[in-house]
Amino acid sequence: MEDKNKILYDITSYVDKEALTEKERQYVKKQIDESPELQLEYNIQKSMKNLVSARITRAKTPAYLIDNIVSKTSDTSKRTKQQSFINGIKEFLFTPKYALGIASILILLTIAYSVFNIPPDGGIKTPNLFVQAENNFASIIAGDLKPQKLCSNAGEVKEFFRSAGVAYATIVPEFKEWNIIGAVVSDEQGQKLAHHVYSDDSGKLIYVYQVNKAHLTSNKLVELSPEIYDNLMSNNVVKFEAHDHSTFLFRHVENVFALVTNDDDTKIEKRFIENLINSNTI
Amino acid sequence: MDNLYKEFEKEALPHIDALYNFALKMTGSSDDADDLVQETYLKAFRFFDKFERGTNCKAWMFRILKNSFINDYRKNTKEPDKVDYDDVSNFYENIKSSDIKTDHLQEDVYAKLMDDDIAASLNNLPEDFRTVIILSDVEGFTYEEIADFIDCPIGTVRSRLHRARKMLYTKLFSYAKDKGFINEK
Repeated sequence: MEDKNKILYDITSYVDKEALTEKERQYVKKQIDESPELQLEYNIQKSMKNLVSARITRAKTPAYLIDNIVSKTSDTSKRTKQQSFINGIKEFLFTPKYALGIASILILLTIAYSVFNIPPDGGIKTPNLFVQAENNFASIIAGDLKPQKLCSNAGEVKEFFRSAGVAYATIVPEFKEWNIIGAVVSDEQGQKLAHHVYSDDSGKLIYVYQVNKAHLTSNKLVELSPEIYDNLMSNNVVKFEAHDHSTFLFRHVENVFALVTNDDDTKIEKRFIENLINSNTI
Repeated sequence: MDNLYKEFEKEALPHIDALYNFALKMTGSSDDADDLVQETYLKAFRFFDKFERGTNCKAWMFRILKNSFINDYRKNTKEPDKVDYDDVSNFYENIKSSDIKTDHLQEDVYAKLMDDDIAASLNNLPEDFRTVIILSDVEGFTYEEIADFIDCPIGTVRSRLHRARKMLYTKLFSYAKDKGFINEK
């Protein structure tokens, strides 16, 4: 049986032109020529190999999958390269002892983002509302942060926030051009904080992180520099632009929002933030 | 890092169709194949500095895909088909030359089968057998590369390949007979 199997497997090797010396190949060929049974084995192996090679056609990889992979790998590449730079900038800007006047901070940030094309940053440990929001957005884009609750309307999101322990009134407006896709509640030093995400038909994302304004002074993990805090309390919208996303900080009623998006920033400003601020949705 | 990324694009991206098709065959679902291929590329990029230049990048990518499949995908799904090798062996050894006319092996018999029929028959093979056929006859891997992929000696690769083709043949043979492409009296 062992010998019989050996010649059968040698026939497979013969068909595949593998694992046989020239002498062994000649021996196998002789065996095939002399035995109808082995001839059949040879024909089966050869015809199945040819059939599969010729007839199993490859599906094309979907374009969106290639785009996703290219975008994620190139983004990782840039992020690693610029990590140390953006770490330094953010540490400088968001550490109170280095605080400058708000005007110069904004100018400096705008220049830094636009000149160096800094992408959304992952893995930064400095805790504050802005950095957390940017990190979370980068994680969403990378597929590392998934919604705890998949939902498509404001009522569901707000109910989820309530049931998950968010102790302040949340604002979750609905829009025609952006659909709510999911929500997350995080725990920052025992305080449950609300996050939700919108998407448009083309897949652009809007990530919204909202806290009660009291959190900015009571929770170290979300507090901002005094200059930014003052601007938000004066109802100014503070905007940071990067080459592939924008981040907005603003206040409405009792809540302060960090919004990060890869959608058109002017559109977000005019159609999303203004509508949110003008709405009475609580 | 830029150079590394460019090299990664040049080396790894050309194999995406092969990986995607293999992932489709392994998972049987386009959504799962999407996830598996994406995970494979992200892992491959993360460890691309460990890739030994000049070696077979396609085989390296396939190994990463296999590990992702086993570690991340399979543990969340049902156990794969278990194969009783003795049963398989007995099954195909019962096909005797006297049962089969050589002209049934002519390609025109199988030419009548649709590509989908052939693909379905291949997909119906137990996973271990399907894998070696795809790697050998669709992807063109050598026995050594397949052995590396399935963590088995080369001898196992060729015996499994032999059995796999025999099983595929029996499936296609009965399929062709059912469709009336083969008349047996």
